[in-house]
Amino acid sequence: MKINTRQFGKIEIDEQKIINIPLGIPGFRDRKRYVFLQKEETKPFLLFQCMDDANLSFVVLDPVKILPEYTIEKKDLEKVVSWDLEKDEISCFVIVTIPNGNPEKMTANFMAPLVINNKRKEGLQLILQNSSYSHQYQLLK
Amino acid sequence: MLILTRKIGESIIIGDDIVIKVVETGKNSIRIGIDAPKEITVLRQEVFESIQKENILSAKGDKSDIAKAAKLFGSKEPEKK
Repeated sequence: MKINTRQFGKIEIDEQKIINIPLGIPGFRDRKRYVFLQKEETKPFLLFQCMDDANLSFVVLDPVKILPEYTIEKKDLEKVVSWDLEKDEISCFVIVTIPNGNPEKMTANFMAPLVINNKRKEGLQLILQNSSYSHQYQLLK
Repeated sequence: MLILTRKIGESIIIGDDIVIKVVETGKNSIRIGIDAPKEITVLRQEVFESIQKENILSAKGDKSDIAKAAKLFGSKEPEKK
């Protein structure tokens, strides 16, 4: 199927790759279906594009590209989801903020990673409220 | 806003399954315990608001800035293959 996106125009989407975010994302609670887009010119970033709103997308990044030791603890995930953490394949991304016109000041939110269960095609933004990680971690230092 | 008085160890219940208990009181703070189902997010308000604000900022990213950021990022770290 084809969807409209603000960043990349009309794009063909494989419906099998749609990720459900049942609780939405804080600030955008009513937007629940997303898909990952990857473009050569934006690597290593990916775009987490909302299926139902062309204007809504987030730039995301694999956190280990910045902090190789970054991990999510099982106990933090267990509190909020009923996933089978032994069997399901889980991926994690950090949401990147790129200030308009000042890309060198980009930051990433390590306090609230996007956690995706690839098997269930379901995800959430996990807010680690007792974590020492910043929600505005400078990517270029 | 509903205001109730509770003693240490006493609770209030919201709906059928959200229990909020006063655990300890101090001079300027209280400790509260919360039991809620998994689908209910429980967060300190200021934490939630900072994440929400950051998400809204992040969603405003512009295409040309993303490509520029990708270049800056790429020049920071040598590509590993």
